[in-house]
Amino acid sequence: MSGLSVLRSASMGSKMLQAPLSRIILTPAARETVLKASVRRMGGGHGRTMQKYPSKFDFTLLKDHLHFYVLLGVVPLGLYTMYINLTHGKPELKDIPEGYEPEYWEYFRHPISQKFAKWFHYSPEQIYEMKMHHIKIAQDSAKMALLQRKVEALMSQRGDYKAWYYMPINERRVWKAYEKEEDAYNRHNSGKFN
Amino acid sequence: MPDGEPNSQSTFEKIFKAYFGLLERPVKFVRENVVEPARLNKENHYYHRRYRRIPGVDECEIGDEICFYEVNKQFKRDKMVDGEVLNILRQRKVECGVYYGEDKKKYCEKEFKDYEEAAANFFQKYGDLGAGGNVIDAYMKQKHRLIWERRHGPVGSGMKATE
Repeated sequence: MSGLSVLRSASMGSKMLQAPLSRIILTPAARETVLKASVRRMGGGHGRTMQKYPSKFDFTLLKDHLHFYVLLGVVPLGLYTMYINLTHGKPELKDIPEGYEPEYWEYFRHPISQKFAKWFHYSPEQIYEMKMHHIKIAQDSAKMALLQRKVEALMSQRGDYKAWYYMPINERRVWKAYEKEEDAYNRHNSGKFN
Repeated sequence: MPDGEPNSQSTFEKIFKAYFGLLERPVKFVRENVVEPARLNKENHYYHRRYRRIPGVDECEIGDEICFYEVNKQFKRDKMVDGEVLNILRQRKVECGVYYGEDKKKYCEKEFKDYEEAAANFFQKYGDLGAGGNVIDAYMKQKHRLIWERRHGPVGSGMKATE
């Protein structure tokens, strides 16, 4: 127990390290004092004492988590696996019947693999098409970037185009500013505040 | 000892069977009464996937990444299939050699020849490309080999001296 507590204290920081270290470093007299002081006599001087222990919190938590996750995942999946393997023997390879297009999961060998492919995964055809779609998008944007760079290079080289551009903005503030300015102009010219 | 008579069992055999029957009988019971009836009407088969062939990389436009992707996928699949074929041939060769030992030169000639030929063909197509070699590398390799063969004759015959 003392060996375990030394290990625990080493892993739990300097605060826990003090007790075992002090037992090594202190002089015998001081050690006697510490040993006596570490036992609290809860009144009366009889046998009733309160012992001090290192914390068991981490170990309890670990056991709780193990219990929880085993019941959550390992037990249902294990039961399912056992059921499938009991009710399905070794799968056999069959020729594809005439005029029949197998679903994509029917190419997997084990029933569990088939179920996982059916329920949780995209089909290989879909993955293939998705990948090609991403390639298409990347290639299009690369083409557009190249074209834009070329256009800008030609414009700066020839200098015959002013490169007007249009930015779609909300014109409400522009109108407001215009009205405000107009008001101020009218007030100024009406002679009221002169 | 006459065969097939239950009385012909020796005492040792009887004890032996009774003892191991402790393990065997429950297993047999479960197998015959639970597992096999449960498996009766279950469909349990899988199919072999065959991919359609697509045209080679020589028909792709330059810079057509999608075409390249498809052809490269086919190339990698081909490489895997050819590698598996080669594995089987190698396994046959090794097993034959182990079985016949000293006589393998005499009895395993066909296995050795098949494997060497297949390995040479595999290396001719996929060799020297590395793990990341793609279909363009293989195509260029084939092109360079054809040019070399036009100049110097079949591979293995040695290079002609330049005039």
